[in-house]
Amino acid sequence: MVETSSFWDVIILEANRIIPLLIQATYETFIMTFISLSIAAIIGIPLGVLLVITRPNHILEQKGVYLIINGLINMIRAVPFIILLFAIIPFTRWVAGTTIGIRGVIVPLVIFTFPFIARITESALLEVNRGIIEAFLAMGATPLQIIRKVLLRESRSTMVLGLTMAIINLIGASAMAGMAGSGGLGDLAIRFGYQQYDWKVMLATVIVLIIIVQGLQGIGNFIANKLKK
Amino acid sequence: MIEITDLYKTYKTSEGTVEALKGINLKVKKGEIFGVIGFSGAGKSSLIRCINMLEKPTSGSVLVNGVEMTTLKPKELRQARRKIGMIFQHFNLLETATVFENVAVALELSKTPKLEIEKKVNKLLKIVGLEDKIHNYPSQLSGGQKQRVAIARALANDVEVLLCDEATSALDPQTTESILDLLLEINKNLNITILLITHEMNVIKKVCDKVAVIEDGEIIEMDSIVNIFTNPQQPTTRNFIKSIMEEDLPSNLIDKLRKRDRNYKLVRLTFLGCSAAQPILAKIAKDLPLSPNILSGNIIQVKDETLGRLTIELTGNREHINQAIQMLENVGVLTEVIEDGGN
Ligand SMILES: Nc1ncnc2c1ncn2[C@@H]1O[C@H](COP(=O)(O)OP(=O)(O)O)[C@@H](O)[C@H]1O
Ligand SMILES: [Mg+2]
Repeated sequence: MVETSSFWDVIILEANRIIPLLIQATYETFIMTFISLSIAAIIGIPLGVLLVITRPNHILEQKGVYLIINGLINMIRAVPFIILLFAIIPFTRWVAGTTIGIRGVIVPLVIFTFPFIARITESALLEVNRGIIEAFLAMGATPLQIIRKVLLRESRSTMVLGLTMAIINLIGASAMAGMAGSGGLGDLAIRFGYQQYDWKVMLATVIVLIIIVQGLQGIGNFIANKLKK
Repeated sequence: MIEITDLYKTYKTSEGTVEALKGINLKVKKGEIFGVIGFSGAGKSSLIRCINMLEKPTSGSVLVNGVEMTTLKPKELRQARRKIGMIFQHFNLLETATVFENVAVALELSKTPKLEIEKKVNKLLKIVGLEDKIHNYPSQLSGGQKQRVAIARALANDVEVLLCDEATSALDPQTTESILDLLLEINKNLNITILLITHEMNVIKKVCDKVAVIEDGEIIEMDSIVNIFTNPQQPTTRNFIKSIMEEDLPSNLIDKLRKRDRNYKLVRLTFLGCSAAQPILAKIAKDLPLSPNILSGNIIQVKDETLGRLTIELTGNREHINQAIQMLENVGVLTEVIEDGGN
């Protein structure tokens, strides 16, 4: 009787300590992820579109543009995030004014994610049936109309799945950014779980990450399915 | 309406060059349904795609409604294309759009006001008989219904010409018939000029006023539908006609004829109208000492004309046989001796 009550007392005490930390960290992770995702999408999606339409035999064939974008993306994608994070510190400081906190970490996260989104966009748009593009060319559609009314529209379900993948990658990367003192769940796990050997915080962080990833993937699948037709 | 002069198209690939079109000349008059028939790889798709510049011709001229298509700037080309509808073998509809949206999108491209789009789409769907499927997605439609949507979309911007690239080749025979009926209706009621390509003689037979036979990138024969059927010049043309008309006589019948020790000819008669040959056969039997023996016969509908085909056997004196053939020729029956037997 006594033992049980003290067991629960410990649990409640620990929960009172850990939960506010988790809420704060989760909030920071979401902020980092969604700001980075938005900026990365704004850069990555147009680049992905360009990668498709400038390739040989496509609607705006431009070999030079294609090769440059393709090369740039391969270059960035070759660098693992953890190296990128430290390698671009001067650039980050120049753009964001700081290298720590949410502000500081958004720059590397965007640099890390936009090439990925560009590739996702590229492969999604390449799946669109050539015949439909031809039908629209035959109807006198402009390149912009084909991008909007055919390419992006027909690939939207694949795009949602790809962006879901990008978000999940981002959450992973933002946790790694904890090494650079970014705030968020990764930071929490490193500061408490790793540096102070607080296994309870570590465990709680892992559980929250699992729930977030499962939830996001579920939402992504659901939306993609809705958009299929 | 469409005038093609000295059209060449050469594809350059890593494996070498392919001369898909070698000097095509043809004219399609306003209001006409013009068919191009040829085997796979003959260059049909290349030809039709060179008309709206989906493929850029290597050389030559393509006039559509007086506009030279080969030298248009991108913007002018888009304008010109809006007046040239096109439908395809695989329909090419947006999978993510409803029937309504698939047709409406053609009007959005030309910046038509919303209210007008709605009215027009409804009208078009009525023409193609799909009013009840307006909110369905392509995945919920049959092949024939998808092609109807594609036709409505192609017509949306009040086109003058409709190009059909194997439009019925993915459809079963009955659906093909119904789509062809729709094309005939569109041609007649909306006065839309149609150029279609196909490898099926049935399609040509049912709808075309004029036919060109294409082989290895060249037009080897071109004539009105009736002339093509009654008087084909090229072996390929004959093969296409044969593909839709049972012509072979039973071999035991021929064996029997051959075994007799007499002069005979097997003659194939072709004539317009289904009863045109009867009186003359009776007259031959009366005037000459031989009696024509009908071995097989059929009647086919070619566009708006009825065409009769008879295979007859003439046995007797060589001179009399030739006289009989002459009598048939004199009344406008086309004759073709398919076997000259005896001694
Ligand atoms: N884009 C292309 N690149 C290279 N060769 C092509 C291309 N399109 C067609 N061809 C070739 O041109 C010839 C004619 O093709 P096509 O016009 O499609 O004929 P059809 O429609 O009568 O089957 C074929 O030998 C084909 O392989
Ligand atoms: Mg073809």
